[in-house]
Amino acid sequence: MQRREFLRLSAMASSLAVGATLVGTRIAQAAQLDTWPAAAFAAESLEAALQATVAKDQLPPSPKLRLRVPTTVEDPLSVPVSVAVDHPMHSDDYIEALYVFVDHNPTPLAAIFHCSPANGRAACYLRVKVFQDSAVRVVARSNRGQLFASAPAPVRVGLPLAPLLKKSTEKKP
Amino acid sequence: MSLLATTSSFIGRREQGILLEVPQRVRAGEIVEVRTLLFHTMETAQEAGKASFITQVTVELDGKPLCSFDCSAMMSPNPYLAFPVRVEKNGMLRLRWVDNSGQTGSAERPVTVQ
Repeated sequence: MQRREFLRLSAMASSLAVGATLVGTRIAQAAQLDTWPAAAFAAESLEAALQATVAKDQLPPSPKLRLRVPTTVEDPLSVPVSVAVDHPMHSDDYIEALYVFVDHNPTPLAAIFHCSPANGRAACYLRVKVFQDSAVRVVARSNRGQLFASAPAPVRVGLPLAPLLKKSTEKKP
Repeated sequence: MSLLATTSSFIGRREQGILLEVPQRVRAGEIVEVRTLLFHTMETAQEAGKASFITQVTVELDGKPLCSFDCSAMMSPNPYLAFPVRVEKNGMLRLRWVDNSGQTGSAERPVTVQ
């Protein structure tokens, strides 16, 4: 499949560029799936995650991307993200992937949605964890290589998950 | 996409750790919202000692790949996903998930056009 080859090549290229970090190797071993972009999911900063997925450090926001995220959440483990792209989904010009990032998470790349013209619309709904006050942003890539980024949507969490992370690492033998 | 989609709207059975809902009365050419709830802890290594999360969710319509999610432990536990599907004719929608330890689950629902 052309898309999987592209993903495999881009994952290989990005892992060569970034270098195999310990986190990346562990995540790659954990995933056991060669089409799963381990290097992108292991990136620990937003810039690195953007580089690994769309090969850009930053992108200007585009009005084509409609992103709906609540501004304050009580449960940081379940933050709904709704995204839709105003872009045709013709067989020769369609949105191919939606990358969802949470800026200040341990690993900012949360999910990738691969779509096709059979979807009718480039849109999806999913729920992410937001570990601390952060922003959610989505980048859309079309099959022609065009990139559209959303404006970052700030999220405030009532109870940051960072203290839970620290407690877990202390428990390790 | 509905921000307020809730699990109480599911009428499908739970099978192999999946609830999958495809709207019933569909006209040809209509874009409908397919919703699914997967039952999985989705934990990072920091949270649970050993990372356990769904890595990929693939959706096929009549055997042809429709869309897929590459997931990570940054997604919520018991992932609730929704995506649009343009329905042209009767068919079978099949959803399959794989997690990082190789466990899988799948469910399928018929798509019927009026």
